[in-house]
Amino acid sequence: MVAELLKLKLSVLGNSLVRVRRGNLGVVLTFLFCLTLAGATGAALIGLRTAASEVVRTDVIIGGSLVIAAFLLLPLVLGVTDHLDPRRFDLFGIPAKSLALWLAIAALLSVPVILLVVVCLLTLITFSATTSTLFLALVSAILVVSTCVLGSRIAFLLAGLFLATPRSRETGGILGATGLLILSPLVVFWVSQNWGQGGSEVLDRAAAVLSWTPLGAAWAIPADTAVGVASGIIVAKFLVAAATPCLLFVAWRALVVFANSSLERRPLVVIDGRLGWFRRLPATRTGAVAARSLTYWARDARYPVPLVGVFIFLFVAYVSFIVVGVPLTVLILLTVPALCITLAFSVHNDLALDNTAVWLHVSAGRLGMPDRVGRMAPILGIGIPLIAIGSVVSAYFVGNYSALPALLGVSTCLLLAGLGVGNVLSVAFPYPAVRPGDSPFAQPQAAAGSGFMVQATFILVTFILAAPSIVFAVLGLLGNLGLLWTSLWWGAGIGLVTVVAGTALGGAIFDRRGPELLAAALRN
Amino acid sequence: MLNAEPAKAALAAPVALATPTPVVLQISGLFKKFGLTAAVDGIDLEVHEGSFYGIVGPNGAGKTTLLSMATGLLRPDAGTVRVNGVDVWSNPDEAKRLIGVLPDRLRLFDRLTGAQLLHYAGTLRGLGSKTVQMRSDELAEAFGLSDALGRLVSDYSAGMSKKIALAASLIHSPRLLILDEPFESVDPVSAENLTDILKKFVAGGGTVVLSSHGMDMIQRVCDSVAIIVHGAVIDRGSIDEVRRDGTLQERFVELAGADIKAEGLEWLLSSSN
Repeated sequence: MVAELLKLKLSVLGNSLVRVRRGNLGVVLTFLFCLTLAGATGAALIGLRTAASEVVRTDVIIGGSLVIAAFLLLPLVLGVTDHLDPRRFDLFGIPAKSLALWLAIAALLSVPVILLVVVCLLTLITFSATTSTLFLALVSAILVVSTCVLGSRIAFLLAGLFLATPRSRETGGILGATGLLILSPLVVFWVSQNWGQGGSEVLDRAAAVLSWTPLGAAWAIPADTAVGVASGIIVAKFLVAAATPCLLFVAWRALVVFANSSLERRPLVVIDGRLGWFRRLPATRTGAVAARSLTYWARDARYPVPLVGVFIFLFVAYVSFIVVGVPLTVLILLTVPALCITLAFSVHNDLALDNTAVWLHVSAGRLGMPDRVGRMAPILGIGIPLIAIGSVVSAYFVGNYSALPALLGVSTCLLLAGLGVGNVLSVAFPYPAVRPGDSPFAQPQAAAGSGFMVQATFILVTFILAAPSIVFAVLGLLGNLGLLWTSLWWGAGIGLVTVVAGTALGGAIFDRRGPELLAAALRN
Repeated sequence: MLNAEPAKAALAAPVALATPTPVVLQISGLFKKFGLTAAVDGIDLEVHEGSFYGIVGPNGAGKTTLLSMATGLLRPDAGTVRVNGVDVWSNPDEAKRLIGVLPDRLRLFDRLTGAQLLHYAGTLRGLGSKTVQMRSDELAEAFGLSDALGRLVSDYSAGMSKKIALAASLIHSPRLLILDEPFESVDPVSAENLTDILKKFVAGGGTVVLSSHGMDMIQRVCDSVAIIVHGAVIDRGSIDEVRRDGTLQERFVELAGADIKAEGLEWLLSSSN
């Protein structure tokens, strides 16, 4: 049976290689990423052979701990299909305890684990100076591989059991992507450190701590020996490292038994018998649309995710700006305005996200204004506190409260003018959006590119409308203090006029073109 | 709400057979072209108040196109639709107040719970909070959806989605119900239940226009029927007039199946090898 499972896993592996040959972009990229990672690590490990053993110790323990952490955490967040989910084998009537063992063995045949084995073998070269370290490196490699395999098995099964609904899967994927992006500067920083030449004291201390944890203990066995640490300490670390896979195996077996005995458990999801936002907001047409929008922002990943994406983009942009040497004050002043236009941007194609469900609005008759006004509720709900609090906080950090009016002016203008422009574009030029129920990262089926002109128009027109406020703000910050207030008046004025006019125009277009909007949604 | 003034309706019903009641839905010269094909090719139709009107036709005959234009969801190329004398396309707001719509194959706002969707539909139609609450509860009760109100509509089965959509189309107490395939993927017990609700609605002076593929259902439930083929009405009238001596099914196949013959496919006969 083990042989059958290994064969099965081998053909899964072979099939993914076929997908590489066919040029499936995602698979190829993943493959290249793994290869690059393993190659770089391997080169570094071989290079460490001649380095001072203290340096080797720090680098191997920290790098190794990251590897084990990745095996434990990535399955939780990546949301990939697990071919070795024990629940898939339940129908074959294999005793759960044997199944647990066999699946753990079969899991050895996966790309990440194979790469891990290669990396572990390369540590043998690193520690090839004496026979004893070489032998201990081999012990360490065995412990590391079993820890990683069992840890990732458990993580996969936990993700399948408790994060299994599509909705939480999406959330998990988003969290994972966010985490990776935020971690990437750290990794870049760490990689850019001079390998083999002794990092900072911080790293040395981190390695010392990690070497006592399940993440670093196994790696510490040969590394500590090479440094000449007392053998009692090494034995203690060996016990930690050896106990880890044993405990993981016990946990894994218990989890498999649990998973296969609770297969039928799929409770009906009862959200709430009550009305949520519909109860809290006035029972008018505008109130209803607002309540629906707020509910969707909370329940449908397609609404908040693009925003989160932009926030991450801003974060990464800031990090690179700081690296390049743009003064921090400028960045702080730009933060709230940048977030405001991002928020407003999310209305520019909001109608398309409804897809054909928009018929309900069309058949209700003359819903244009309530529709346009109601949909702004989540944006204003986030935007107004953001401007109020964010501007004050920015001014505090810059240490220049006199800049406050300009900050308020520019932010308000970008938010309100953006909403006005978006309210018109959304009903005048809807373009295909991600369909309800699809992943927010999915591409709409219809021809791509149709949205580019609309997006460009949105950004261009909004910035033109905000230009007076921005210009006065810049002049004010450069020394002409009186203009800071001028910026506020212009910003608030243009913003208010645009949002009122844009909403009215958008509402009128909606009333006139309702059936055409539905037809556009049907083509999506 | 549904059984409003049953006594009056009971009195009115026999009269309806004798003298024609006022026309509720008047479709004249309706025309819609998609590309080169005319999906609806000049249809005239009159539906009288208190009638239960069935629209049947083969796949792709233009039923959905016709009903979408009648409800103000699809703009016709030519022709007029009047509801109680109000033009749907020149005075949509007034007309739409009179109509309850169940479209086919359009999405619902399915990230709302059943209760929220009913509330949303009612409020969009301008009903107050108390009225919406009361009617939602009654409708959910009548459609057997009370237990499902707290769940997301996206988790509903196809039949339950139909039922909640039908409930939503009734919530503003329309005078005319236009239902596209209301019985599709609805189980027989629920279909019987829906029929009862619709009969009550008609008995109370409402009018129902529905399309369906279930000829038995139409013959049993409707009092009038129109057969549409290739975007044109090829027969219409009371059920008895249209079906003549046979069943509606036989008459429909005779009329609509004229151009579909089971020729060819001889290889099917030798399927044993």
